Amino acid sequence: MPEPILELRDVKTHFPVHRGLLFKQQAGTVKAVDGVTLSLGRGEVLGLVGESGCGKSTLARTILQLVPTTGGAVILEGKNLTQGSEMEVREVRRDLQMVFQDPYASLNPRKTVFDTLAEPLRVHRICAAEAVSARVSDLLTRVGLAPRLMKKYPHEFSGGQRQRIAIARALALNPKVIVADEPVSALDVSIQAQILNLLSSLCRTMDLSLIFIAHDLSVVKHISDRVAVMYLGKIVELGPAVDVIERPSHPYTRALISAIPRHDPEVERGRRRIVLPGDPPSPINPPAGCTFHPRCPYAQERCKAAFPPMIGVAPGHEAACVRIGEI
Amino acid sequence: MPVALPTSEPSAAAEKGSSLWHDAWLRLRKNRLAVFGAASLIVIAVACFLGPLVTPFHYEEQQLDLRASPPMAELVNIYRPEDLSAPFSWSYVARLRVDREFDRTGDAEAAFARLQKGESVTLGTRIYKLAPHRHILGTDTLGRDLFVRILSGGRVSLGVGLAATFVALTIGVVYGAVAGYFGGMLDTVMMRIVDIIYSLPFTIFVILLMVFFGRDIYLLFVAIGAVEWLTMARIVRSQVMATKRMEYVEAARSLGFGSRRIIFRHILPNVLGPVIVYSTLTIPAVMLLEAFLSFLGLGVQPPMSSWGVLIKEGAEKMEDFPWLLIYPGVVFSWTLFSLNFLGDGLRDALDVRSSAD
Repeated sequence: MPEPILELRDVKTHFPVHRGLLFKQQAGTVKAVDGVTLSLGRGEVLGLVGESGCGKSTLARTILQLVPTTGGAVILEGKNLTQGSEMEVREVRRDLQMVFQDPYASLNPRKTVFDTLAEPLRVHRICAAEAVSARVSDLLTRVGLAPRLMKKYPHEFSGGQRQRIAIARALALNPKVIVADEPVSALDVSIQAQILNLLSSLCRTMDLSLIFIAHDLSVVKHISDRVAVMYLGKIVELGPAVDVIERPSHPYTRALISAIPRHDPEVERGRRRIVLPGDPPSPINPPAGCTFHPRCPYAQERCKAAFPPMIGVAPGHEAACVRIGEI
Repeated sequence: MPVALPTSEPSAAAEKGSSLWHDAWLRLRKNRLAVFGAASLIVIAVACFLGPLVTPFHYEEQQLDLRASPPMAELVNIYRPEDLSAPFSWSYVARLRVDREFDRTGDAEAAFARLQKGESVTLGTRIYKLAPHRHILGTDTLGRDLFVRILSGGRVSLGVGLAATFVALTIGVVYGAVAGYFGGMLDTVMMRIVDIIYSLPFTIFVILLMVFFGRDIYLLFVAIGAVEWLTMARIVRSQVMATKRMEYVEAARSLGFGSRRIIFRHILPNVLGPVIVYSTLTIPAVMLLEAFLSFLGLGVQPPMSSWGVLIKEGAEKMEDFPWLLIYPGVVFSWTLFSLNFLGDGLRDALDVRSSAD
């Protein structure tokens, strides 16, 4: 594996839940991210999948330090972001940018494309004042938009074009890592492919590392080098994209993969869906032991004891399940 | 390189976008009532600020002989034969008709006919001549021209309205934005302070200010502004709290922008819509407050006037001289209606939900 540029060590993000209007009491804690350890190699694309509410977006915001971290460390090129002062974090964060899910909400409606892209350049003095315009044109060209559109406002663009603008904004500071939080799920299927191709070609040409969050495995398979599967704030399976999707080890991953429709009608007819009973448990009060055990078709008594550690399945491929060899 | 979009044509000239402000302006222009309101306000404001300069009367000029003359009364200058340069008294035709002295001449009708033709009429030791001007809205109980007093009173009322609203806007927006953006303990403390000031009786607050700092029209602006900013702060706070969760604010944070830049460049421009609308509705509220304070004797002092003072005086003399109430009342209501029409129009025009997405 290439040398890691970003490391997460046992990262935890908990939100207190308050009850009462006048005398607030802490009624519980939402463990949105609960002990995630990951590393991202230079130039690597890591896909992060999981169902709604499993903590994917919170993990993204934790990596960017947009929400306070409860525990663990986010290390970017050897610098721990969770311990820096506000100014230090702001400085380091230039190397770490985010593309948001909803391109209709992530662009300031009162700013032209030019203002949106020029502001970070000016604030961080990325280039000389007279070079700003040329740099904005360059950014727009890189994401496949005509520079002559730069005086327009976000509401004059389509969803796909807006997402291109959001990507251009993320590129403005020459970051090393981009976290894309479901960048295509708000878009039309025909546009999704364009944005995916754009992201992967940018990664190659600009030497970027990418954490790509999605709830759709087929999208992730298309773009990722490695895939991490998240369930209730924890990583349950991690490995090379092809391995994880072709030979899933964790029962949860298997259920996810079995839900993907196949292109070939023959294969599709033979596809057996693993239907998980029940809903994902509440992250306020997760089940003891392996959080997946109430819904797991293979659960045993020992699964209720403790959350299993990651166990190697194949080189670089590991899963958090005690029954990996058996099922 | 990524796929070029079909929109990329070779033309290099940048296309001009249309901002949300521009769109709102176009929508506002289509709203006839709002345009009418805005036009009315401009007319009223221009009249109030330029009118007193061109009218022949001054707002504090008293003609005690012409107390409470009705609108458009035909004024008559009365001279002594020994001094024809300046009239020693004034009257108007309708009053002369019931003047017994005039009646004794025998042929009063012929005398009035000559008078109204512009000829001078000599009666006993007096010479009567039609004056070149009339008081188009009549005079008040001290013989001051009502029209000029309405215009100069409008300066005070509009001035108080605009200045106090500006004070309220400045304090309220900054205070509310800071409380809403940072949240937590700071927000709690700041908003409890607002609650406490809210609970102070307004009149006592203003009386205290007046007692300590003396009666001063500028102090009146400050006093009213100091009370009106509370609501503004609450509105801005709630708007900022809603806006700060938008992804573009998170994007600004992840770009490493400072709090001040995020509040003033990213959040506030997006909450200005409700703020502008509330401001247009604050102006009439402030003008009413000023009227109330003037009524208590805490506002503007004679001989200056304001619409509130004029209406108060008019209400006292309503039965005998109704025009003293009607004309200031009409102008005041017209202004309030115009402001409300404009405010409603702005609210519709700036409404995010109705804006094109």
